[in-house]
Amino acid sequence: MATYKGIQGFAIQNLSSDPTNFITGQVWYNSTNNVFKVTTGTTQVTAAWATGGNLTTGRQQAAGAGTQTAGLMFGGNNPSGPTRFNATEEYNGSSWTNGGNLTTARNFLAGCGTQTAGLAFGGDVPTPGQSNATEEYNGSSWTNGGNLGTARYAPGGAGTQTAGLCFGGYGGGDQTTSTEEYDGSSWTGGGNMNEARRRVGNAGIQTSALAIGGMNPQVDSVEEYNGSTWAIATALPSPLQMVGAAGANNTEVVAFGGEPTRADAILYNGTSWTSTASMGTARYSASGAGTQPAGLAFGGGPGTKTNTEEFTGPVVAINTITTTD
Amino acid sequence: MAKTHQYCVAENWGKGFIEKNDSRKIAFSGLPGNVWQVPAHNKDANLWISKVLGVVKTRDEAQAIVDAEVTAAQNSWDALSDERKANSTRPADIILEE
Repeated sequence: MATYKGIQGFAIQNLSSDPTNFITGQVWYNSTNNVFKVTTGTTQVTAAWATGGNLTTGRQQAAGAGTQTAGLMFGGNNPSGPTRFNATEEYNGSSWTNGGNLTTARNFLAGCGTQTAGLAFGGDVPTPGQSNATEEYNGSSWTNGGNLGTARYAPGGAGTQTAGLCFGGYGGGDQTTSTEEYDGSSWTGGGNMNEARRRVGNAGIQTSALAIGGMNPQVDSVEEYNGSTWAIATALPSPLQMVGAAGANNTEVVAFGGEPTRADAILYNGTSWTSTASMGTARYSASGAGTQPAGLAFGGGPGTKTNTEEFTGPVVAINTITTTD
Repeated sequence: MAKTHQYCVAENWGKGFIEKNDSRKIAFSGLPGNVWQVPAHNKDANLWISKVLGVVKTRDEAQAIVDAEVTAAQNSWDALSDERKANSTRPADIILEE
């Protein structure tokens, strides 16, 4: 007799609550409600972007961290200034207020963590060009952390203040595949990326991160990190750099914008990319925070955008399986 | 040729300027100079323009506003050093559709 696993290739999961990320046709057992459930993949509520409060200081090439209702933005650049920023701003779900300044002003830095436990690392600085500086935020001020082993700008970043991840970027005279892991005080080497790149989109945590596109030159490749090695994932629909992203892991991600000044957004479910609602304001080098389905896009270029947009992901219909005698 | 877009100038005040339900009904495109492109002959778009106190512009008027902003940004970029240019992109011309 055919089994579900034999047909689908995986077993029915026993879950205490409905998953937020699933494959069309997936069946699972909800142990809280004692019912079997299935999704047909039908979208019940479409995704949407809404404007959020404007940034106090418009900028691009900044880093982002936190959530849609407790976001953090730091560093960045006004390309026509030229000014590198040390400013930090905190978002509360409706407006931005100023936080403590970074010690090292920089752009094309990476960041991760939360609004009260943020991490800033790498970046572009006047001299020597690439920074190895790490700073830790406590909700009001930044203090120095352990330096990166490889100074770099435009890397990707993911994770938390005590379990951070830095990958790629431009360092050592070229694009790099180098990955480093932070433990709250120092960086150690992780598995190298398959493809060197800078200006890479990023999402996830130290043990489940996603590297999205980037430049070397502009690439469409995507890689997934599992805490020790990078694996090639499904490529982007087209090459993309300076793309923003939000996602709590490497299987639930929304990527938005990118060069040349794009408004469109795409969703990644661990297997494939699909189009979703576009932002109201096209941009590249925007910062991202939050998750898919509750993401945040802020700042970006060209110029120094102050725009914030809040992403609400699509809601897919879930049906309870009933049996009849 | 029938118009497919209309334009207005409206300052994005932030939260509530475009709400989720607006964005589900209307395809927005925010442009330099606080110019917003929305569908023409569309009741939801018309209501949104009223809500945000948008000042309706013809395509040519909107294009002139966008051109002025883009030209200013391009001039600023052109004045940068080569080092700074390498880390940013020259703002591109934007051609509005009817």
